[in-house]
Amino acid sequence: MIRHIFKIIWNERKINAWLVVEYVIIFCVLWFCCDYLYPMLRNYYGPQGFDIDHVYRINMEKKASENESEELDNYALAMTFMERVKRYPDIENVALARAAVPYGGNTWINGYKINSDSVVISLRERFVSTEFFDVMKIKVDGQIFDWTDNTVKDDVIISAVSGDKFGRSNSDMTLVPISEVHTLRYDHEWDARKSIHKVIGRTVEIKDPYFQPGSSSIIIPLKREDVNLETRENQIIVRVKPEADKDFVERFSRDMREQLFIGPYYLSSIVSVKDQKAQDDSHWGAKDQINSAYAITLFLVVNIFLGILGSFWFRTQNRRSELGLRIALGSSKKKVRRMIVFETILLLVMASIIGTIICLNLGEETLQSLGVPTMSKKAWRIGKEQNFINFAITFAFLAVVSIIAVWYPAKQASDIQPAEALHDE
Amino acid sequence: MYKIYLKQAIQMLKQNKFISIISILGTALAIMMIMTLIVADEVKILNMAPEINRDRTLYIDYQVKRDTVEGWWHSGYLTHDIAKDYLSKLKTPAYTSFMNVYGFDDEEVINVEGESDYRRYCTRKVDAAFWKIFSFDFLEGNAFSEEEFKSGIHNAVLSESMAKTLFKGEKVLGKTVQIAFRNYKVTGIVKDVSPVFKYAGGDMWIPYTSLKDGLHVGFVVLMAKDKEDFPRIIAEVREMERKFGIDHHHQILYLKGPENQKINIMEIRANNEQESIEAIKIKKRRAIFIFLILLIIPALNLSGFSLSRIKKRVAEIGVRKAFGAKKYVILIQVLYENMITSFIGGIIGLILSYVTVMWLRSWLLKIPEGSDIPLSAMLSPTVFAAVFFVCLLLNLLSAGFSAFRASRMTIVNSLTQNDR
Repeated sequence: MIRHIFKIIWNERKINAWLVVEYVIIFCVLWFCCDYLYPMLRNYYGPQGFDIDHVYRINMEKKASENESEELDNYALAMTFMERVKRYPDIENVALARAAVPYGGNTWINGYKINSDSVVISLRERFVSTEFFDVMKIKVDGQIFDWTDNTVKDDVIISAVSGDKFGRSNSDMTLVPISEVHTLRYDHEWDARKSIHKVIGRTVEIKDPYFQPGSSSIIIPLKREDVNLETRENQIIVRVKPEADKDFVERFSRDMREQLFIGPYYLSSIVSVKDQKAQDDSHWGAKDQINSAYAITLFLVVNIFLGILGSFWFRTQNRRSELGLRIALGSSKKKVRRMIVFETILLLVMASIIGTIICLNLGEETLQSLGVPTMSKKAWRIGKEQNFINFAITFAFLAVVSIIAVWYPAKQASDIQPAEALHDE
Repeated sequence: MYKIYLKQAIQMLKQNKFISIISILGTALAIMMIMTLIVADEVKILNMAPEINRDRTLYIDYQVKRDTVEGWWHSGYLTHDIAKDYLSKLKTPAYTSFMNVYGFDDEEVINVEGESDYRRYCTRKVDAAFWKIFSFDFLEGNAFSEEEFKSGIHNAVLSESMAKTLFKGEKVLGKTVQIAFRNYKVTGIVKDVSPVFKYAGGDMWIPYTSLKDGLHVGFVVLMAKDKEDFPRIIAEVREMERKFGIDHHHQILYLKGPENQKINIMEIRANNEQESIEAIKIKKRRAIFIFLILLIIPALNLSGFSLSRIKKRVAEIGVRKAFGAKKYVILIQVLYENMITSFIGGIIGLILSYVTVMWLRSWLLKIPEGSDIPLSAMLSPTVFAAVFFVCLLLNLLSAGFSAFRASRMTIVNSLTQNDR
């Protein structure tokens, strides 16, 4: 059967050559689209470790006052603020934080040493109040600190990376299993501040932003003296009851504006964290690249669809008498149809072999010199298995499109009346 | 002669409707993709009010300061000291303007004096030269002069729709608006400016000298008297970098650019001149690569079709040759006939590309949904020239091979329909 189909392909080699070349190019481009999109989207749609539905950031500003020297008890003001916001019926909970809220704009990274190791590892620092875990719906395995209790200010919670490891996924060092991390030391020659942090809880990976290689976080209780209502470095987040989410921003700013003139601070805006995520996406360009990859994929798919449809349509026209003869000699309609579908798939198989060889030999550098966005294999810890995923997805995708495209010509071919077809001769 | 070809071509399109539709669709898709890219670029490059001087404007929006001894380095938007102490001293440009990065710094609380209806908007903080480089359509009043700017006057220019939202149809000129709790007098109302204009667009313009501590970071726009001055301006900027090095011991300054409009929209990132050159090269290579993919794949498709079609007409070509048709006549005929398909596809593709640009504007042009795009950019002569050229190219790629083969066929072979 296969030899027979090969013979048919060989007879039509001139037209088939065009198709195979087209298949090869499309296969290669789709391969790299897949290579880029698959890990990216897996990160994007996979669990993030937190939940930003119904979460809003409240931004406060400070009025410029005449007597700047006036001492403010920022902690007391913040407590008043929290109390007032919590009393608002739509609010589930409110939390204060520093450099902790996902998509908040600022990230702090600092070097720590694990247990008694001397190797310094860069971790994302997040300073939070106890309510943070509740607002962001971050599940903690272990205990959660009470941030107002000054005696436990060195207790921390850490987050995992690449499954159940700890560290930075793009560093050369091998990652430590998170369960083996018990203390983290901040201890550098150049800094007088030294501290030893006891790990009291662990969480899954906190993935923000999703388009950069992951890093573990060290979540530290917010210091009382750092509390400040002005949301430049500080962040205020609230979780709204799901049923109250509609028009929350308008309602809350209308109802609370007067109440939230606290000292020199005033309510300046409320933004949903989801909107900020969308803004972040477009600002850092990952969204653009994902969109471009989609557009190119769509373009290629439509083209290969039209190409196969047209070529096979011509072919059935040219081979009417041959197909008529087959049917006259007892070949069933189903068999004729199957033969044509098989022919298409065989062409795809040939092209995919050539395509795979080309793709495996094109390095990251070649692609980068063309400005094609790539995922750094090393930083993302992507192994060889990605090649199989690429092949499988690309091949399956093209096969499905090809079968749909060839369906109409195949049906036409099998509908040929032998009497008519043979009459042509 | 060509009339007959035309008739023949149309007849052929009708005869084989299925394939005709597929070919036209294939062409239209390719043209659509390419034209979408071209139209989106055109919107960003063409001179259009208020950015009427794009072709003689240069931008500097990024700087790197490095200390060779202490080892630190700072990079980011342009700082005020560089703009004031160095770039404002440039001699060749007609105007040098320093302004804030719109949307980068925080929105500010805006309200009408005496009302408690607070809203948040971005403001553009500019200097007097801004009003010379960009041309606004003032409905009432005007902006501020160089002297007023220097004195730190609290004047604000509002867009028409902004004035309407804030003052709800009252007479606006001379009224006071509070921006972050500072009072500003409204001295000018301008016609709305589409956010397509990255540098001029906005809703509210104020002099940055009116801020308590001025403007820290932003970028510089340089308008040359003439395009020819660009190399001189660039040389002068490099001279200023050296001057900075002399003024500040063991520090090195790098100013990205100055970039012209075309390079500016590429949004390249670079920390020194070498990187910038390399980044521009990559962007260009990438553009060529995308164009090639967008052209070659449909061309391969269409080549297959036109080969099949020619195969059916071998006998006809044989007869024409037997009666004395020259090789080039056959070649031109095939190309000409195919051109009809290309052009029909081209027109459909161009229309589709307008639809796509409108539909995907937030992605392609980085402007909010629902904002309008100046029509003149979409219907510019460059766009039409480009669509014609792309059609021609696609036609040559898709029918060139089969036309060449048809013209080379010997008479005997054609007449016996032996195409091997």
